[in-house]
Amino acid sequence: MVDIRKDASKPGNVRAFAVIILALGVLLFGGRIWSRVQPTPGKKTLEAVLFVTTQSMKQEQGVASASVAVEKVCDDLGIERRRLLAGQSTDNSETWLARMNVAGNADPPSLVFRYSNDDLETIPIPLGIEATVAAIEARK
Amino acid sequence: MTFESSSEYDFEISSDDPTGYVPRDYEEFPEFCFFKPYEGPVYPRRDWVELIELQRARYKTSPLLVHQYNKIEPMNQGAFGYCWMYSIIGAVLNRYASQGIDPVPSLSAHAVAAMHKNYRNEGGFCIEAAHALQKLGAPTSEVWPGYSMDKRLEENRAVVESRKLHRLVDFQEHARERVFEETMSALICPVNPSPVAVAFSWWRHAVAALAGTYRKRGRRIEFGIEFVNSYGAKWNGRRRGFGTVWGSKAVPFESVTVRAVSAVAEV
Repeated sequence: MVDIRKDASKPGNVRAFAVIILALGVLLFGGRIWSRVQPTPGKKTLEAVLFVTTQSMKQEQGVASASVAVEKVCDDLGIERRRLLAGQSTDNSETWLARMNVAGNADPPSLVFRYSNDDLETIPIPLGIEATVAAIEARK
Repeated sequence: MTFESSSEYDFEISSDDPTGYVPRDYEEFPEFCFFKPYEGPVYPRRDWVELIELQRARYKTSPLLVHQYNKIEPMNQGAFGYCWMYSIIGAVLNRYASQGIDPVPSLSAHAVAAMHKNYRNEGGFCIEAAHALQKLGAPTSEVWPGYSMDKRLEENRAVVESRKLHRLVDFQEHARERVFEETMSALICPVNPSPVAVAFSWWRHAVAALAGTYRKRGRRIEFGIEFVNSYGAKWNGRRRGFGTVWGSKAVPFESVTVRAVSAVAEV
């Protein structure tokens, strides 16, 4: 005699198994996938850098602020790069640049970073192109 | 039409080329009458080759590289004798690019010269152009089309607003007695390399100098200046609007450095 109840119950088991696998998958990998699609709230990315220069800064700082090599790195990373002389007016410029300029003028020569959440960070202009590129890449 | 060529420059000079530089009368307009003296360091000639090489290969800081990287097209003065204003505006555009304004605004040198000369096609000199720019401001070519000599544009609201934006420029003048030393030093300075508007009395022409350069002539080194002209991108064949002058021909009659321009919003 053929047990027809046994055959009939097979698809149900497969479905239940698939649901368990799917649930486990969501638990294990779902978070990771979601975090890629949806950035974690509060995570900041670097949006702009401003070099506030002075005539008396060190040669390596001048090179770092004026080099096309640094400009190209910023372009490749999608970071806005600006360069101003300390004390230069920003009356006709963007609000965010004026804010960065105020921060940078506190103790020039300085390099000001602006993040996506509008946070500002100021450091002395690093000595040379390599150190400047490293400082920018570390914050991207 | 006649052509002139020389080993002291890498282009041909045609008698038909528009120029317009009127050699400045230093008695009427003495040194530093409008602008303060150049404040940057002046490097001795023995350091120039090393600084030029560093700037080209390692630093990549010359105003010429800035001009080319930012794809600033050489301007064209057309049939007007306004080279003196184009030389200043060419240097100002370079400064905008080095300050990170991208794209660089398309400023109308023609408009400033026309307004300053009361719409006459007249020559002038570099400090005259720089002074007029500070006084009048430069509209962009979006609001002042082409070579327009329409006086009514001056009162146009968009032109007035545009002129306000492009007015604050910090110029410094180079001393006559060491004009070549200071011009070269401004161009090859590793701390703050600056573009320079230079005028050559032998050519009756002014251009925007963007780099110092050198070549070997037998056992000696000859220095030169690379510049962007205002005859459009088709001038000087493969150099596409750029040129070089060497030796005694590279010594400017007048030389004005652009140190900074007012920070403006990108468009």
